[in-house]
Parts: sequence; C-alpha cells; structure tokens
Amino acid sequence: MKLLAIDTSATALSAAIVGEKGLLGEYALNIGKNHSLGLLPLLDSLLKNCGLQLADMDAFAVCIGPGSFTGLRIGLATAKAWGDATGKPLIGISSTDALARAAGQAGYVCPMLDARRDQVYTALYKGGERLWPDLAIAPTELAERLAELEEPVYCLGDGFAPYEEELRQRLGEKLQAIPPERRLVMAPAAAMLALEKYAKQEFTPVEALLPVYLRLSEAEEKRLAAEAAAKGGQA
Amino acid sequence: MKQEQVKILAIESSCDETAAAVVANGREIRSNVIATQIPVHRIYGGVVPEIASRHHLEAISPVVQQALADANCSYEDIHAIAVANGPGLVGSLLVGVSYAKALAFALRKPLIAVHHWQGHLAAVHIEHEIEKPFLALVVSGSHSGLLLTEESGSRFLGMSHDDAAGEAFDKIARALGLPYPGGPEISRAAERGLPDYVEFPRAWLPGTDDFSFSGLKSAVLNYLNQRRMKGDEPTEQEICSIARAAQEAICDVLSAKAVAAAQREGVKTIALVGGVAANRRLRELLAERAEAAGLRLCYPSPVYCTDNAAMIGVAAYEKWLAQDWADWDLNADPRLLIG
Repeated sequence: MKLLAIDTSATALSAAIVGEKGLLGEYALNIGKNHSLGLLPLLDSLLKNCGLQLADMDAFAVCIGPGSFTGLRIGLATAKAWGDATGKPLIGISSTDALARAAGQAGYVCPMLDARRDQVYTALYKGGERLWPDLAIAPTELAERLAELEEPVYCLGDGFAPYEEELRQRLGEKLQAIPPERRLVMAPAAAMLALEKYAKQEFTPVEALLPVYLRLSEAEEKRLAAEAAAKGGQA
Repeated sequence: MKQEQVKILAIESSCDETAAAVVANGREIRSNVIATQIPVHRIYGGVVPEIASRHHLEAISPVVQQALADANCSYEDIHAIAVANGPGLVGSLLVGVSYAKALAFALRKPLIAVHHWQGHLAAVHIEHEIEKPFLALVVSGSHSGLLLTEESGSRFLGMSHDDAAGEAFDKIARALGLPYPGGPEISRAAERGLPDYVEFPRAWLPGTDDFSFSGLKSAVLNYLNQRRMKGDEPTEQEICSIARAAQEAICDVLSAKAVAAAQREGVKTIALVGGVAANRRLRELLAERAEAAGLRLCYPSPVYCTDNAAMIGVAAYEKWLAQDWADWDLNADPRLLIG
C-alpha cells in the first residue's frame, strides 16, 4: 500500500509518500515561487528517488485548506486529474488538521495560516482533537480567545511568524512556538492522517473534492453586504 | 497500412469558459465541450476573477470527462494533452494548466502548451484552407490586434493601446444598461436600432496598425451624461440606436484598418478571429470591404470564435509534429507573449 500526499495550501510546497512501514520520502520547498512551477518537478524527483511511479500509488491525498485560494486550486486540480486518470481514490485533508498533527504536541495546538487582509485561518486542538471549527479571524481576536486557555498553546503555520510578537504581547509565556524548522511543512502529516482515512475508506469523489475557502470572493461579499444594507434601509 | 490518427485532448480555461476538446490530426473536431460561466458573472457586469477560478475548479473534471465521452475516447486513445497557458486571468489559467499537467504526468503523455491567441488563430483552419501569408484581425475581450502570419512565423503589426474591442463592447453595454457580455447584447440591440441616430468619433491612429477604443467609450458616456443632465433619459428604442452607433464606430475602424494593412502588406487573405469575430456587423462590414479590395475573408463559426478548446487542440497539432513538448514546470502566464 502506497499513498502520495501533496500540500500547496500555504507558502511552503511539500509532498510525501507513505507505505505500510511509514514515511518513504518527503520533499519540501519554501522558495516563495508559485507552486505551479515546483509541484510536478518536485514529485517527479521524489517518485524517482523512491523507485516508484505515480501508477504505483493506491491513493492520493491533498490538503484542502483553509489556505491560499490559488494554492489550493493548484493542488486540488492536480489531485482531480490524478483521480480521473488513475481511478484511484482521493482523500482530502484539512490544512489545519495537517498542521496540528505536524506540531506533535499533546497540549493545546493552534495552527495559523496566512489569510491576508490582516487575518489568519486558524483552529484549536488538544490531544489531537479539534476544539474549534476553522475560523478566519484577526490575530488580536485570536489572542483574546487563546488568553482564556489555562495551559500553554503551541503555535505554527505560515500565519504565525508575522503575528508572533503581537500574540506574545497578549499571551506572554502561554505562547509556545513550534521551532521554525517544523512549522511549515504539511505533506508528511497529511499523509499520515490520510492513511487513517484510507483504512476507514473515507474517500472524496473527484467532483466533491473542493477547497475549504472559509470566505466568499470579495465581489460576493460586497454584493451581499450591499443587498443587506438595501434591505435594512427598506425595513 | 492505415496511419493512426493523432488525438489531442485540449483544455482551455483562460477567462470564464471551462472547455475541453478532442481533436484528431489537428483538423477533425471529435468533441468540443464548453461550460460557460456567463450567467454567474452577469450580476457583476463582468468577469470576477476569483469567482471564475472557483467555477473552473468545479467544472474542469466533468468537462474533460464529457469531452472524452463525446469523442468516444478513453485516456489510452489520447496521444497528448494540450493546454492554453496564457494570456488570460492567472487564477483561471492555473486551474486548466494544473489539471492538464497532472493528467499528462499521470498518463505519461506529452504536454503541449498553446498560446491562447494561437488557438484563436488556429480556429480559422478548422473550416477553411488558408495559405500563408495572411493577415489576422484578432479581436476578443482581452485583445485587439493585427497579426501577420508568414512562413517564418507570426508577428503583431499593431495592437490596441487601451481597451480591447470586446472590452469596449462590455463597457459601453454597461453604460447603456445592457447586461454582460456586452458584445452579443449590443449586437442584438443594434439590430433594432436606427441608422445614423448619432455619430461617435473614431480613433484612426494614422500611420499605425494600432487601435484605441477608450475614447469611444468616453464619448458614449459623455453623450449619455449630457442627455441625462437635461433630463433626457434615452428610451429603450433610443438605447438600441445608440448601441448601433457605437457598434458601427468599432466595426468601421477594425474593418478599414484590417483591409488597409492587408493591402499594404500584399497579402490576399484576411482571417477574422477571436470572440468579437462572432459579431455579425463586423463580419458584414469586413466582408464588404475585403471584397471591394479583392481580398478573401475567412472566419470561424461562432462556436469556434468564442473561447473553446477545439482551437487549442488544432494549434497544438503543429507543436505535436515539431515534438515541441512543455516541461513539468510549465506555468500559467497572464501576459504571455506570442512567438
């Protein structure tokens, strides 16, 4: 049994192959380039070095967000094509779940992904269990929520570094940083989570594999806000 | 021995149509599937890039599966995967490019990158035999230009300085209260409009093969504003007549400059391609003027004028013959240059 996982949902690009005996290989790049450039060359090299071909895979896993809209679409379009071309099952893995798993901490874990517009995509975990749904919130609001916790909280993800100081001011010693070298790469953790889903046959059909955007497009948000305002004006 | 036909699966997602087609030997269109998002974008009066990208991701797999089914093909029957990798909206392009790359990677088939305009240009070959050299008037929502195709290659003689012709149609339609997309809406309104109701200025840009349509857009806006300030709101009939005048101004400049450039360059054929090539008045006026100048005019059927993947499959065949494959690091390029 072999499973390939890819992640294009945040600044780092990564891929990992797992088998029955665990992790066979993992590659990651964090070079600030469009994932569309790096994804297939990286995979080509990973597969070759593992002595494998794409056709040897029994399933494909992909991080479905929340995260960069463009990044997610690169990863999901890729996974969809593999599902169509090979007929092998697809497994969608939440990006926050993957980061929480990558943290490898039993206590509180708070993954953070850069959501732009001065927000982060985030959730809260303890002992590997999800406590919050995925949220898109301002770091200040996140700090307030985390301040209510009675134990330290471990933070990671590409949305952490930009707001680390801000969070620390509010949380002090309660804020625990996952070391930088373990903060960004999601594919190996996603692959391990996907193995569990594979065992339970929790597959996603190609057409149902869609990103967790958490937000509407700005044009839709503005239109709905304008419509709501117009309705409010009438009432 | 019967030679096996080369079948290319082509994918196109540059703007707001998700399209896939199977093309045999660069001529025979075995299938041509287009999922349009026009109704989605109509409420915004134009294409919203993020919404377009989201719809492409939902549509890409079903559209490709339908193209294979319509062509009665399986993946094994396909020789290569082709994709338009620019120019266009980057988020839209990336869906088609990522899917096409992954498909070629999984199937271990060659990947062919096609310039979106080369696709529009190739569309004319689907239904016509055309010999080089010829002049192409490329008119779409994103570009307007005159492209000279010779044995040695293609080069632009001139381009729009500002709005593309299709953009001008969209903006003028919006000013007139007509829905998106503006081209077909203005064309329909113009059919009911009176001739010579109002005259809008033309930007001839003498001595060049370039175009400019932003001045026309402003002229229409000023005209409407002046009337409205006097409380003279145009009636529905008058809107049709104004649409007709605006369409006439666009088609007049495009057709006159295309014919003049063809005569100067000594080519005998003009190809009219791109989404705006579906405009009836442009076809009519250009046909009249080309005939008067002793030039042959060719244009694709409307379905091959607007964005489609069949044209990408046709253009890809030349690259198949040249074994011009794209690498795995192929990227979407919103400002891809031709050549």
